[in-house]
Amino acid sequence: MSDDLFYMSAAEAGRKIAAKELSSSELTEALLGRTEAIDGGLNAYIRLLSDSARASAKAADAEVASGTIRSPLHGVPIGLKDIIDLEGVHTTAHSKLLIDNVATADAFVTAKMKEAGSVITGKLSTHEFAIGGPAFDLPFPPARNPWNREHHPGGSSSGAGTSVASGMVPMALGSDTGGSVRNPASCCGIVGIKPTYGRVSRRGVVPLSFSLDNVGPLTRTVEDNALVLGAIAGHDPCDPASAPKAVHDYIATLRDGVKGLRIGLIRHYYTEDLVADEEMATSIDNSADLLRSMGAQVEEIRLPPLSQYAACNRVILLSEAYTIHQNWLKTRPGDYSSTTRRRVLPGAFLTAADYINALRMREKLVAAFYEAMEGFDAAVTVSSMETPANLSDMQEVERTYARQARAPFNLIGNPAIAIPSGFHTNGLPLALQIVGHAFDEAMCFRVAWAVEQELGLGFRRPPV
Amino acid sequence: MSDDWPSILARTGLEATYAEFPDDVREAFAAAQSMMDRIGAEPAFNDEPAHVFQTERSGSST
Repeated sequence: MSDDLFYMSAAEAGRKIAAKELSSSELTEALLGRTEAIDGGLNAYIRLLSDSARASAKAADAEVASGTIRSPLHGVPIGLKDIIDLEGVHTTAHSKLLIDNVATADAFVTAKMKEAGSVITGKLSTHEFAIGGPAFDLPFPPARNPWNREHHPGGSSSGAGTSVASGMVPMALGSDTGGSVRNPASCCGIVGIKPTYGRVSRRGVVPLSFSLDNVGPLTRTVEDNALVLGAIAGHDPCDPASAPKAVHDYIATLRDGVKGLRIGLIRHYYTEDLVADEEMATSIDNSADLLRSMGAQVEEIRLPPLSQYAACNRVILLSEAYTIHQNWLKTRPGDYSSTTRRRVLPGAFLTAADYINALRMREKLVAAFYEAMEGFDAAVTVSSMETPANLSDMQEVERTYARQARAPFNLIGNPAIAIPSGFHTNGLPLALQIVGHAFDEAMCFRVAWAVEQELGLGFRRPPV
Repeated sequence: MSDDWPSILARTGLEATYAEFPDDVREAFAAAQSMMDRIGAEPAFNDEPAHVFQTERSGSST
């Protein structure tokens, strides 16, 4: 089987399927075969749904034959992080606690992808309940990084990152509460967006933190990411946080370029507040220069310290997460992984005053962001301070997980996308983060696409 | 550990968890104590909390 099918973009696959140059069944079969061949060493999938995927692909092909093309993603396979419900299939959140949990309905985003004609291939590995780190004391093994399987692939949408980067599937849905879409995107050299809070419904998704959770796509190209977000975005009256906002045609402005845009560079995040790996920092500076060379006006902007955003995000996240997990932590603490138990338990000792004061600080930190962004179209900064650690060194995994600049944008709610910005000399991917104004994901995609094209990285294929 | 530890623990209802995983619960308590300090600033007297369903404050969105 040609590698071309494994690494074909979702957009190209959709075009070929619509033009009857490729069938959904042919593509789906190739990707299922790819997964069966390589996933034993990567652990991206918890549950591969081969039979139902084949049936969906066959139905998609039948629709094409009758002249029905539901969307640009018609017949294109997609994987779901195993906290997203698919009717009749287990949603385990990678946990013993939900090992027998079968979804009774589709999540909003699952239904949207079905409406778009996509083929759901299975449920993907996650950090337990989207908060634990990579762990070996769970019912399923942790996903591994296809660029170097000794290293973690980021998380918590770990299987999403691994599967997309290794050519098992061209697109996946993950969730992002403190960076869990953008982290695996950064670690695996792919594209991941956290949309504006309220842009994508969270109905049918296992919650972690009510005011910080988002669902977002992971893909190998910016165009694919824009297509998937276009498919899942929109108002859902059954999600109280869902915003009744019009959804942009993200493709319409994708190729508008950056000439004349004013872009802020949040440089102190990776040079002062935390000091990033030298090659990571250089790649961000180089990306800023690249944007300048394309006609953007890039200027440094300053926000309150990264530590304030991160700590505020942590207090809110843990306070909200504890309300979800307190009963199990009291009655079945041994059924969590050690990492998850230790991560969630501090929420038990945060007071109502702590939580409300963090919300009050959140308001100030949001205001500071908007003040700094006044007159700017977007901002760029680092995503992770270094490339992902080796899975055999859990202390280093723990240390480096916290060294990131993603949580601020969960706290303020704005869209942020991580895209590849090169490769480290250790062979692992480097990543750039682009932040937009609320509900202006279109600008994130526009800047991201320009950088992607100009860097000319294409999508390198990992050694799997 | 504080002299108040038994009452602090009782308030959380985590006695059984503590019996099984004492280190985890003690570490969680210590982590929570330092968490607010790490924000490094305090709200002013009349600062309102952020309202959850209000992402958009400004910007070029439609």
